Amino acid sequence: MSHTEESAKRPDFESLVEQYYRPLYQFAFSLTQSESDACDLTQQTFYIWATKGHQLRDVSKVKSWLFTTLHREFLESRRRQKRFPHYELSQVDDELPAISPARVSQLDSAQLLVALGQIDAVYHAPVALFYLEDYAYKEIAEILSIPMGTVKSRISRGIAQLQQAIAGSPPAAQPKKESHE
Amino acid sequence: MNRQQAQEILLLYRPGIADAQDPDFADALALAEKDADLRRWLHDQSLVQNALREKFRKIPIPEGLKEQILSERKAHTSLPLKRKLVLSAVCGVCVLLLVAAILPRLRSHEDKSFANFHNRMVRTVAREGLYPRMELETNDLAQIRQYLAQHQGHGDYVLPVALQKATSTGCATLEWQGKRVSMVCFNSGKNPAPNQSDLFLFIINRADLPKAPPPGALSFAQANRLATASWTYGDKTYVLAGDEASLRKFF
Repeated sequence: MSHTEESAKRPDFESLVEQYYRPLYQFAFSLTQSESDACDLTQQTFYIWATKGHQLRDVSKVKSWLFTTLHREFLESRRRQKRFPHYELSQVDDELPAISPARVSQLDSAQLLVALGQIDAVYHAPVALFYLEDYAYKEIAEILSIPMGTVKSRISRGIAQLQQAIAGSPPAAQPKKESHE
Repeated sequence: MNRQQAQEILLLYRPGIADAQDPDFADALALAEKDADLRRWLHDQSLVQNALREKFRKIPIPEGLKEQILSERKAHTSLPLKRKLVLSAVCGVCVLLLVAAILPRLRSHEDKSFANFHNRMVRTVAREGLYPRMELETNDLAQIRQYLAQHQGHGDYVLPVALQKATSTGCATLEWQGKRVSMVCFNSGKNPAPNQSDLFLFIINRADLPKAPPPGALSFAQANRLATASWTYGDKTYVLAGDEASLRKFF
């Protein structure tokens, strides 16, 4: 492919932001549980694209590249703060709590955030990608730079912890009916 | 595979996504087809997963984030540009300072002697084969003065009395080491064609020629088959070049 053809297909910065800033922010938010940190991560990711994105040969992998970059930046920022333990779990050893779809539907963003905050940090990224994007497990493994088996075990474990957290959290306050007494 | 193992596998199953093609899920899904409890569990679990997926995808996006990203990009991209401009400006200033430091030395090495000026003017005539390019061709001295005055030349030159009788043919302005030189051309009368020039008078400000001949002195010289007469009068120095016979006619 000639350079001209390649650059012709390369998305311009603005349309790339338009297309991906929402899922990237949501992924960042799932990782950090902080709006400002998620904004910073999202911005940093696009900045890295602006400065190094030209190195990506296969433009069809832009989305994966962005998610990979965001995750790396997140890990890097965490590494600067403190080292958090990485441990592998080969199987789900927690019982899945019985939660209903209706219970999940009652959750608001703040409660989802609280629930996310209760699961181990190592599960945040795989669980977020599992729910946010329809990536194949192989792609998630590439984004997170971990083996596919590890991806699956982390997602299983993370889902279990998330559902436990949701089951243990109080239901969202329902709007009170006005009294006309 | 038992039911618990199937549940562990199917926890990762996402209906509608390529997961069904994954061989890991095939056996578990096959078991769910046969096991009513497992099938029910899978159905409920799929609903929960879909609800969670929807929640994740509805995480609110802060207002103005997109604009902030785009403006950050502009700030980042304009920073190198600013740096480039600053660097260019600094380089430019350095070059200017260097030139300013070196130029006076170079100029001090330029030969500003009268001899240099004299030789250069003679070569001008010799190179042009006695027909130096004229910017104005006229026999009218008044027009010549006017033209020179209008072109930063020396319109107020003073001719020796004898030369005033010669027929002017035109004029031009030249540069010598950044200084203005006026050239006035004459026909000495030796050549019958009235517009044929054979005498060339070069005029320069005396101040531009540090070692000009002293006022009152008239010096003759021979160079490149041409004869020259040089003198200083008032604030100007003059060099008249031509063949020796014509020159002698006027001095």
